[in-house]
Amino acid sequence: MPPALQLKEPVIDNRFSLTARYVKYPPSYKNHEGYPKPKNYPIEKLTNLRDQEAAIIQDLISVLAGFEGFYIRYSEDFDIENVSQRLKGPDFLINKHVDTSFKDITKRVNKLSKMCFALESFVETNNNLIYGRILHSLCYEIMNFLKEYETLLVQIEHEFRANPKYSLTLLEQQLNTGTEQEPVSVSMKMQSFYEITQRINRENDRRSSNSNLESIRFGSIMKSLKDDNYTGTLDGVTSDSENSRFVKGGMVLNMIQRSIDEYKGNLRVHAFLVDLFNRVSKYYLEMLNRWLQCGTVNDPYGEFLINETKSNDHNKFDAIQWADKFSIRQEGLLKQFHAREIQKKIVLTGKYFNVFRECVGEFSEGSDLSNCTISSLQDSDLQIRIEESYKRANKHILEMFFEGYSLDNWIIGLNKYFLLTNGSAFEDFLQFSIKDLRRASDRISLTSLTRSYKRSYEADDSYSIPTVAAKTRRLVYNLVTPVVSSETFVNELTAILKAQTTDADEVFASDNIDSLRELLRTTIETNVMQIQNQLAPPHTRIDKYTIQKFAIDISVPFPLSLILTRSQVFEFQLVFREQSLLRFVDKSLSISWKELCHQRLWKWKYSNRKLTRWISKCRLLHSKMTNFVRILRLYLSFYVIDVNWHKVEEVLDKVGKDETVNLETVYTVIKTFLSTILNDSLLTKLKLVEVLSDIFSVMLLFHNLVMSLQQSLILMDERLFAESQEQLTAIMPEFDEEKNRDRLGKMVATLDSYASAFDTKIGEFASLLNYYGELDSASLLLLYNDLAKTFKLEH
Amino acid sequence: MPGEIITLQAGQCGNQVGQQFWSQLCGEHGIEKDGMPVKVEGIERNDQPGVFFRTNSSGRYTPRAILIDLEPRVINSIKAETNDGLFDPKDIYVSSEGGGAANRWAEGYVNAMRNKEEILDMINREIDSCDNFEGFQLLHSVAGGTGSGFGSFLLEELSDNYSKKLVQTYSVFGASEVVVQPYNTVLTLKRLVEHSDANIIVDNNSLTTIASKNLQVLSPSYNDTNKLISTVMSACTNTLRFPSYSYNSLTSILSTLIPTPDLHFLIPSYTPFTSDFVNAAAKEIRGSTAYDVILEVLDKKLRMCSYNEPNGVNISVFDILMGTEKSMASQSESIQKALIKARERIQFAPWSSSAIHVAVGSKSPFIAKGDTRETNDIVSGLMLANSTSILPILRQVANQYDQLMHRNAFLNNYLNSDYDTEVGDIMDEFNDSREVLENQIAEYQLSESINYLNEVDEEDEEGGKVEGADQQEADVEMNL
Repeated sequence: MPPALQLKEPVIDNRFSLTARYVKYPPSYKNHEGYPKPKNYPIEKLTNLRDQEAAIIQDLISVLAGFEGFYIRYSEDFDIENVSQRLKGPDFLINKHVDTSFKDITKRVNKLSKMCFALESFVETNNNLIYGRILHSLCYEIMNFLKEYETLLVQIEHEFRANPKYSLTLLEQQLNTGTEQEPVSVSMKMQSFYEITQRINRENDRRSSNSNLESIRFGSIMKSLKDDNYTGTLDGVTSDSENSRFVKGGMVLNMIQRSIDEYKGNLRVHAFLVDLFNRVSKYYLEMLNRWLQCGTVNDPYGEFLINETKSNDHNKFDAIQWADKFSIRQEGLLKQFHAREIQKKIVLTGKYFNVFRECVGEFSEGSDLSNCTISSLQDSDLQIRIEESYKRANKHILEMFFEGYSLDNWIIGLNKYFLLTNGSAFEDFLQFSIKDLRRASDRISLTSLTRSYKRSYEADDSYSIPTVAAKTRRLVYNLVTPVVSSETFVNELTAILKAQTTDADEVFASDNIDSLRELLRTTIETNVMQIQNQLAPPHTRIDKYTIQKFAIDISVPFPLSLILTRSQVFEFQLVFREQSLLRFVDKSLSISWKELCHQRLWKWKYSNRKLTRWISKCRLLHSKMTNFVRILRLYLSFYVIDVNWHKVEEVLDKVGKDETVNLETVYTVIKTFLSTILNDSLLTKLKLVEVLSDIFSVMLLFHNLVMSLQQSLILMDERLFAESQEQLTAIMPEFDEEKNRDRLGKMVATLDSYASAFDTKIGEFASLLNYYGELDSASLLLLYNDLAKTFKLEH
Repeated sequence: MPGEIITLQAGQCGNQVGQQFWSQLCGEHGIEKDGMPVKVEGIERNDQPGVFFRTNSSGRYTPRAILIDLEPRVINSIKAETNDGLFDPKDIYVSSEGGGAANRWAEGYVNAMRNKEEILDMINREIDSCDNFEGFQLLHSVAGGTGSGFGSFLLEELSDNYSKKLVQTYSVFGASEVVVQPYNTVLTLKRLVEHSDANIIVDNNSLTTIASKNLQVLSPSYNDTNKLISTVMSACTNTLRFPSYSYNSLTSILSTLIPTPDLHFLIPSYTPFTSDFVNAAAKEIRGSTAYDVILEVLDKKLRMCSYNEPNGVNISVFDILMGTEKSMASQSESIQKALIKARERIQFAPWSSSAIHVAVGSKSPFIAKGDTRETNDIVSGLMLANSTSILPILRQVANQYDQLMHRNAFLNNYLNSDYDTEVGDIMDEFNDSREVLENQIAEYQLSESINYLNEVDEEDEEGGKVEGADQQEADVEMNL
């Protein structure tokens, strides 16, 4: 056994330390810059093998430190001025005259020299904070190791001088054997460090070339396109596909991780590497803990898992900006974080705290942190701790949203205004504004519509006792504003539903950035072109009614806008527009019902039996239309909105009581609610909406007909004509049998055409419902069955 | 404010029913019996008491109601019960003569005519306090004198003076103790047919039977049967007072039920009678779902007029279901199932669409609050049917009338009234009214045939036939 390394404090003059070279490289044998080539006594002349061994050891002591010796030299190819060669380390040539018995062992020992040189160069090149704190830590570790190595060399030299029995074999043993304190031998450590640094060097080389970096970048964009399950501002994970020019941060850790995995079988080395990993990852871990506990990112060198997009103050309350404010840095992603689920939890945890800090202010850390502190990335409980942090973040953010911002009441408020859960206020609005809503949209005053809209809802939320719910509803009331959109309801839907999406297969088939760019551009262009062509121009006066373009809008304040995002408000709007149009039609029918069934002129006992029959037919058609509208309303309001809302309520009730209900659940449930009602409200099926809109048009035309006939009716009956003439001062045409026959003929024709159009459209509507119901939306069958039974439309 | 409704209650019956109705409404809207709001914490109000009440700055609620009687007894007892606080004294009309109408239609009619200005002033004052006045509802009996006679005059005046407003009546038929009730009924029926938009008809015999079967009383008093009526009224107006998705105006309800003004008698059926409506008198209910309600209301033994008579043909059917909001949403499937079955059981008029319309209402939070969980889960429901099941009672009235008239019985009371001098020949009026009734019966009978409303005759075929009426033509707007 070699003597244990037992040294006093090593006497090293830092000026000449291996890790701190400040002078030029010493002249080498090959490149001696005019100095005479260093020569020593030729080895072949040393006939005594013991002398030869001594000479070699003497040489090795400096060679092991990375210098040239007399008999062991850098290879001819080695150019000390070339960085990448330096980083790789020089190959050494051994004087060919060295006795064969020493050659092998010298060669073996000599491997360390190359590594040592490479490590020195590595530290020299990379020991700079611009490469990040992680790499800096690695350099520090290497330096420490080199110091240890240096100490060993000093010890070897000492023994060489003092121990007459010292030999090459002893030297090799000393290098290759660990001690009790340091079970891993120096050469093994050297080997490990060397492997890690070489990996880093290779990767750096790869990245230094522009074309390589481009293809790396393309690769990561494609990967993030495939992987991203980004859907909204507060859920999902976006990945950051930026690529760095050099290896840093997580990538460094990954290289160490690879060594750890490779040495799994060798317990000692494995332990050494894990230890190394933990020390190098110290900053990383610190950042991770800060992130998971309070959501701060202190990462000046861009090394951490999370990338924060800095934003300026004026858009910090913009929800969209929050969508990708924090993204997962795909580059150098540790294998511990490969699972999407883990990534999501990590991103969301910190994001929640950020939102929280933005709204509530600095976060008092409290005592509930013990479960959320990660002590090592190599620990097996890493996932559990992340999970705990996620739960903690959820607890705080849910509390904030539900108790601080009254999210549940907000949604109820939105339901009330957009889904018209309280029909009477909107009924009121229709009552006041029906005339305006029937005008062409360019001929009304939005101000007066707004005034009447606000007035209708005014009383509704003002008289209640000031509870949180009432205050929230009041806030929603104040924020809701009527708007007149640029397109009619059907056109707007057409634009959305006909929009072409980029074909995913084509995207993934493209092989470089330019072809991808081109593909996206063409899709956008075709969309703009096609949609312009497909929008229907106004067909009748009905299509110009303001109600066709009437909508309400709300800008949800931060942070609620993170949950109730723009796209969700937009979905709310679509449902609103369908509902308001339907109610407008219903209201019109109510008005014409009053005309048909209450107005004296219509109830008059006409002597002309044909006219009486015509009136009856009007009433029959009207009653059919009313039935249709009422059935549709029940379906949309109760079976679609109410029933699905009830499911949301069940989940919201559990908030704060059931740990499995987290913010993501809440978000998902709202999203599902909206997409379900959109779908079940027929809004995802353009054909259905078109037919429905035709049906509405027929109804409104019929309504107009009914409302326009008062004068004609008076003219049709002699007795009525006579009676009215006394009362009316306005100039009336004469009573004329002939004209009346014509008039009645026209009336009959018009009514018949409406009736038959209505029947045709109802049939069409029902069979479409049946078709889509069987195809993919089972709930439409419910409406179909009701309509089919009511109007006896069995197929 | 959605369409306000002004209630007119005339005569003993009308006022007694009204009294029940208002006390029911006060309970549902958290109003004390003297009109002051109840102070309760923790109730989320979503109601619209304004449809039936006006408020003043001190928060006191006053019913939009006009109380009319020709003798002070009933109205005095109402005043006593409400500490003289609920109703506005300006809304109360008691005839200065105070002797009542002696169960004679003509007495009531003439009295009304003499005091027309005063009554119209009261009505106008009430209308002035409305933002968006929608219509009247008249509570009366058609058997006595005031309800029928005064009521008849009111109906004529309302349709004359407020022709744009809807008039709905709750008309109570039959009162065994009045011998001349067939006369009164026939005379009133003419006004119901000609001067109102909708009539919810109940008859005392049916009510008594229903009360004794469903309530814990052996021989029900008027008080008990009136509670049944007020329950129906509360249900009818539920969607106006607790607005949710639809049926938030009287027009929307009536337009669902009445496809033609010639047929506007509506028959109510209600189940189950729970204690929140008819308090301690109700029998214990072992749970009731929307499914149960939709099917049970089809029972002819729940019909509040023409009790247990054979089912007629239905022109329209409207169900109002009431439960707590959450319990209703969870019952959507049971509603669907029940509607499929109900549709099979109901016979619809061949010309009409076979639609069963459903309104989903909600129970008052003030009432649901105090109750146990179990009663909260109970769904109650009202069915209003416009159907030929009304025929038996119309025919019965006609028969009774014919029998009396045949013998000229009790006609003296009518012939020697002031009616003849102040209005016209009462006998003409009798004959005219009888004819209107006959026509109404014929109209309902006719409605059972397929060609009703849609009859096609040969002449029509040639004259007005439109060829190829397709979508294009549908978009043509008519220009006359």
